[in-house]
Amino acid sequence: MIKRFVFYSVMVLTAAFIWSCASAPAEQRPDVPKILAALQEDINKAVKAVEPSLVYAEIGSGRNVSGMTGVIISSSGEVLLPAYIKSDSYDRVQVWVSTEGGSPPEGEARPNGGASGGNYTGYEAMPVESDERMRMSIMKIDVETPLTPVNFADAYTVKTGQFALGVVNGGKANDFKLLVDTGFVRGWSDEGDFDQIQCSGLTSNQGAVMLTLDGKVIAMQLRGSGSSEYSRSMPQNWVASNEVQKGISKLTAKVQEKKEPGNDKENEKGKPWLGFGWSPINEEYAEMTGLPKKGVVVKYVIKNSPMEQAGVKDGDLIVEIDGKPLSKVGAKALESQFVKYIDPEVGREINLKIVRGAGAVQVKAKFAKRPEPKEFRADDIGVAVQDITDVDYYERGLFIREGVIVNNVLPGSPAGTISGRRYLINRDDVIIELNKTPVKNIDDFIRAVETVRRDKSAVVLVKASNGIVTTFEALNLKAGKK
Amino acid sequence: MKNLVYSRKNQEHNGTTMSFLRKQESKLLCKYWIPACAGMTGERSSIVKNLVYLVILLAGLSGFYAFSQEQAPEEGKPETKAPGLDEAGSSLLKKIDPSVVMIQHELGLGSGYIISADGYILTNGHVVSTMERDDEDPMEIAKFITVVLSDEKSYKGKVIGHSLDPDVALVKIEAENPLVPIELGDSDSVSAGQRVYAYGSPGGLKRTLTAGILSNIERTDLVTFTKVFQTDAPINPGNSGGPLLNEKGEVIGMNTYGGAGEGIGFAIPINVVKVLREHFLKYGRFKRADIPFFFSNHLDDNMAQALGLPTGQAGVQKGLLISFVEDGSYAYQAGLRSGDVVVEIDGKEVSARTPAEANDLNWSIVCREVGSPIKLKVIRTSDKNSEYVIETRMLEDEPAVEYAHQLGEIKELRYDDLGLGVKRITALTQYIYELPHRKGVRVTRVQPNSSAARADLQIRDMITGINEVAINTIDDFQKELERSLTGRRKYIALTIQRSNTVVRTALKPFYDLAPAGKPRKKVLVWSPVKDAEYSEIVNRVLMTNGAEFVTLSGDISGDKTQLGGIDGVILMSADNIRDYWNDKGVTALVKYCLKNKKAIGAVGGASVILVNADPKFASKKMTTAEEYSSVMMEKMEKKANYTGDDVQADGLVVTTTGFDDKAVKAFLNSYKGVLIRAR
Repeated sequence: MIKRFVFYSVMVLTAAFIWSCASAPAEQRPDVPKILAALQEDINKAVKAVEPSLVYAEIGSGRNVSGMTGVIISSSGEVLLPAYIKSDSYDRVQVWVSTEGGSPPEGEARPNGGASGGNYTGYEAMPVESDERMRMSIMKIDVETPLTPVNFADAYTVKTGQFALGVVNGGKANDFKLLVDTGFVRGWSDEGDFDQIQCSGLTSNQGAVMLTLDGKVIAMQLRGSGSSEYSRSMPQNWVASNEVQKGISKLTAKVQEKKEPGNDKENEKGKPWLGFGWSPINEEYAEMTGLPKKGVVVKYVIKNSPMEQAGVKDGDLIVEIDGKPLSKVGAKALESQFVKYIDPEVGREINLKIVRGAGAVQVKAKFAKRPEPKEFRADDIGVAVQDITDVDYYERGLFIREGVIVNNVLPGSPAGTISGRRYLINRDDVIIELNKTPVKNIDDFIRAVETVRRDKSAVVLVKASNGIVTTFEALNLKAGKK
Repeated sequence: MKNLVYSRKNQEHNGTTMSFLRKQESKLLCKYWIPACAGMTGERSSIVKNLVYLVILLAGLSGFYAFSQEQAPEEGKPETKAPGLDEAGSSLLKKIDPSVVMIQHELGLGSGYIISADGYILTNGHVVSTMERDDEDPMEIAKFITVVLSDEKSYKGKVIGHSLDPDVALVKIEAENPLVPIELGDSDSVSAGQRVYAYGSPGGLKRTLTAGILSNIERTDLVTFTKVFQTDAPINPGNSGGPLLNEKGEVIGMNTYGGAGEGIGFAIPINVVKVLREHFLKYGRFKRADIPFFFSNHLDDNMAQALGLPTGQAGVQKGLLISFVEDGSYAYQAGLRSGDVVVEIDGKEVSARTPAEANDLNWSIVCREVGSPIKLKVIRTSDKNSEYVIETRMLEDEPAVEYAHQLGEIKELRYDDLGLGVKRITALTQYIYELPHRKGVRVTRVQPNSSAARADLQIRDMITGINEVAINTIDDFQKELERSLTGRRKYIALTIQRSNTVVRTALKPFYDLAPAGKPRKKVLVWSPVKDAEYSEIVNRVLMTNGAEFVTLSGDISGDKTQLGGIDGVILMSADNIRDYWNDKGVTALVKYCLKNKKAIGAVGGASVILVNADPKFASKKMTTAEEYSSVMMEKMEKKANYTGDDVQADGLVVTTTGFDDKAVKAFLNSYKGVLIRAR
């Protein structure tokens, strides 16, 4: 079960040897085998303690399966997975849980057609709640016997240089046995939007947990992603358990909120949004102009956004969030700190201290749900398009405001016909003409599509533009899947 | 006209990725042919005719030699591919062998072939170019080109003209006896499947003949300007620039690159090479003609139908679809519009139904005389297919912009001490890099930890303002930046256009030669002539470092006023440097510096002035241009003190061979250090 022993032993032997040479006279040499045995025992104990709480999960089906480790967070079958799962996703999620100790009677049928593998049992998991920014999801599996939830400890008590264990569930390939790494805590990391521990000697595995020698879970491997104004820096290290717990409570709160009457499903998809673009102020520019060096500059404010309502303007310098001044050195660290401080959450109100000209102002802004424009899918052509909103204009870096922007292209459709290594029409293309009819917005597009359908056209001409250059594509509507 | 397919927000547009590609290249080049413009599509990617086709052979030119050692068959024993062909192959070999040459220079080598008795030689453009060593000017050619004939006689080669796409160069040697030219064939009359031979001289006597067939005679998907031949005759590294021959021993193509050991090679059709030869002889460069519009890769049935073109008798519509004409551009003013289909040029029907046809049509237009009239008959699909006749004149094309692994032709304006490089923005630059307009300069280089990096500048940023002065052209940029630098402004305010937002930042030069609280360093730069080679680089480095400098040239014996308060001297070189080896004025200057322990720098032949001026220099380690080394060594105590290195520093004396920009930049870096230490 415990791998990498050789490495570990060598490491400890070396440490013990150095210690003995450096500090102890020959006659007082410590009993190295005894130390090793004690250490070994500690590791065994720590790993054993966490084993029932570590699950293996697979998301997706067919060839598009990603495997990862997850942790059990409630005895009733709630599992935390280090992945973002959209509520409307069709992906199948399977979770394998250790049945050692509490294994059900042999031969008994599993709920949801669960399959037994080794001492592990597979379950179909249902999504409860998911967070895109943290890249974590709570899933629910239907279990008969209570599970052992993981014990998160306070990561802030961790000392640099202390021993740490990295543990993952090896999954199907390893018969669900745990894989264990040993290493040392190197310190804290400034990268990313969350407090993270850096650790040497631990391999990176999605969902891996970091343990202290006494078996406390102090961190978990999460990887953030996304492409909104808040997720430019991604956590790549070990996210501190305190942050993970905070994430769990947020997700749980969301679930509670939804249970309350009046909160219908429509609002679920909303991403927290303030509606502005920003970047850390350049230090030399700050020096030159006498502005504070620690701050983020507002690059643009979107009309009718929370930030506009708050009175924030282009060129404003945000220096404080909720009374906490930005303090980090370097653009990246400052970015992370800013995102951490604003802590995006729909409905959350933040106080910003803004340096504007020679003075400073305080503003309040409240996170709203990011407006998602109406999307129109024309499956016979093979595109899903939407109006070009201000959000798209800035976030997709467009140079054109009239037309419709392509969100999705259906592979194999007339638009999704391969031409070289791309499709004829691609995501982020802006369609400005369809069938020689100018397209300024989604209504124009819909009308043009209706004409194409009515005329039963065999081919349709698409004129696209990126605001700089135009191109033409001829789509053969008789070819490809509809 | 250009065939442009833009791909929005493609990774390749991102500067980081580009430089990554650049780095990868050197690793990949030797082994694989890299599909040009990765990410752009095969046929659709035939973007931009005038992008360079660099592919192999460049980055690691010097690495090629070693590589060819492994690849090439044994010396003097050319290989033939199939048994039974030895006879044909060897008689062909005998015929062409005297015409094939090896071309080598300080950075690499390749093959070439003699095309006239008086010494004109054709080879690849990349064979004579310096390529990546210092790509401030992508069109820079190697300094010392040596052509080695089959009888091992070698001659200095002069580059008459070169182009990187099509990858062709014309070199001239002055041989005492008439040479044996190779026969040039007609590449329009070849057919796929015919037997061909590839010959090359990757290492002097090491010559290789390989045989195969023409696998494809119209590859258009390699992002080259013209169609390219594909052959399975292996083309080894070092063979680039060599001839691809038909069975009669006539050249039908120029071997350009191959995947070593992959059984695939590419060659430029000889008729294309012939056009370039004429341009090189006439203009010294490839003078491309252009009407600035873009065309779609081809006009097939689908497209014709979608455009609503009347289908002709055969049910087939011919013509060239114009996909983009910029508002107000030359083509627009001439009357062309996007959506027009060109059906006739100068009364002749044109067709671009296939990518190969579109490519040929493009080439035929590019090869027209700049300024010559052209008459286009177009069908305006946006206006009920009415016919228009457009009469205009051919413009000269703009220099090609770099893209993916292609170097382009645009020179970079580089300030090494700021870690900043910028290029002018051509129309094509704007389209490819998706810039909102063309006013300003484009950032093409940001060195880590430099002033530019500290200003958070990014590749692809546009600098549109300096100290609130609008920057429209690269000349504006240079003027404003250098005004700030000579004024030793502590901060230089920059206005940046980044995608569709504007960012403000500031450059803070380090001014190493104007240290805070200490007197500013003063340097006297002397050169034998005004505007000596490298003086621009020297001035720029002194300026960006905040030094005060005076420049003097020629006879300075009467001028003592300038000596006051100098911290060092730099002696430049020129062809007439010998005239100053014992010059009274310069010698006095050198003696003054030696006596007063000032920093002394000398470029190329100027080092000789030092050893002549004072015996104390004779014990210093020094270097000079190779041609002056014997003169210098005579004066030196120990011959070993002449190192021949690019740069040699010894105490307060720094010398350089002055071989190229890179050597001079390294010299200046070293000199700067000495200057800071000097009293």
